[in-house]
Amino acid sequence: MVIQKKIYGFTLIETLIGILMTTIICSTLFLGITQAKLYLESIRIKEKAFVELKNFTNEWKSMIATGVSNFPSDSNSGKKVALRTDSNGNTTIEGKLYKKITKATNSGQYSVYYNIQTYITWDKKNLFFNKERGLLDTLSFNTYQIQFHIE
Amino acid sequence: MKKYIHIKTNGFTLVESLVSILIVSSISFSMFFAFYQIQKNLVNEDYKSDMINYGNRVLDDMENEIMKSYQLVKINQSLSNTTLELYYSNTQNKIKYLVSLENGIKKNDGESNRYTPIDIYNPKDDENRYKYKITNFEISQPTLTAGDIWSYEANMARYASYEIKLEIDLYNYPNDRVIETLEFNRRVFSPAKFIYNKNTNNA
Repeated sequence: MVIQKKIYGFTLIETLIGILMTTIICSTLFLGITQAKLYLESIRIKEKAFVELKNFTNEWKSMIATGVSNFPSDSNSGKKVALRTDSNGNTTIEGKLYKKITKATNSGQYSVYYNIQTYITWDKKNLFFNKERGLLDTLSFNTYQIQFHIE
Repeated sequence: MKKYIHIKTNGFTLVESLVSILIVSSISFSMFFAFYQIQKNLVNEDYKSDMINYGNRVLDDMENEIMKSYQLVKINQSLSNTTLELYYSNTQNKIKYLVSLENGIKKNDGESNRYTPIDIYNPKDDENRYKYKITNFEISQPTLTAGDIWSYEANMARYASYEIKLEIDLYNYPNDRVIETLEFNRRVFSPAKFIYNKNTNNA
């Protein structure tokens, strides 16, 4: 007597391959979401850096406008500003502001004006796929400011 | 003579059914939890983006007006309301800002008595829960800090400048808990005020 038993279902290999494929797809999805979130955060840091650089440049423009002509040189570490803080208020990403102010080459005796080059640098460390550690992101302004003469 | 007996197992057993129900339940629960978290994060990010845009938009507007005005008068009407009045040398009109911690920042262009919002500010959702709230607004002259230049000209620059600080608390959706405080700051130099100060000093 022969007994034939038919069993319908997946084999172990098929099941494992299915689980593996699902895992890979889910991981890719979550990785993509995380990367997008980090990218959004990096844009916000750049916006903050832009505002800080604008404030810094405005400060030096005001000094030149009012007649300051001697400018102290920057320290090596520049002027530090917080670009991102955690919930406890500790700085997690710090920006460093630098300036280079020179009298413009064609500045005249009566119309004295200066060239202002300012820039800010900060660490790119928190981007997920950024393999180059210690890479700095930079924004820079190059502008001119005339000195006011009010008699 | 051989006798064939066919046993067909075409249905699920009780154990198979229970196991599959357990697996489907676990997956469904995980998915719902993940979607709930994603939705929560999405709402929080949405509020954050709105407030970043709001803060920058409002301060940019103020900055543009302050640069042109020769005098700024700050009036603290109450703990939560502050008015700024800006005077200009080329016109009798004065521009006013009403900074309310509850209702946001509004502007009066001097042509009527009406204050209009600079941008949309709805701090509460449909269920009266806080989404965000302005907690602090300050405007003052820059103070001297270590490393700053000390001279007559540098002081004149500081007298003609303002530092504006705005703080907005972001609340966690859906429970009322502050998750982050957004800080905005601007340093504004007013050439009009510098000229006015210089002329006043000379006179």
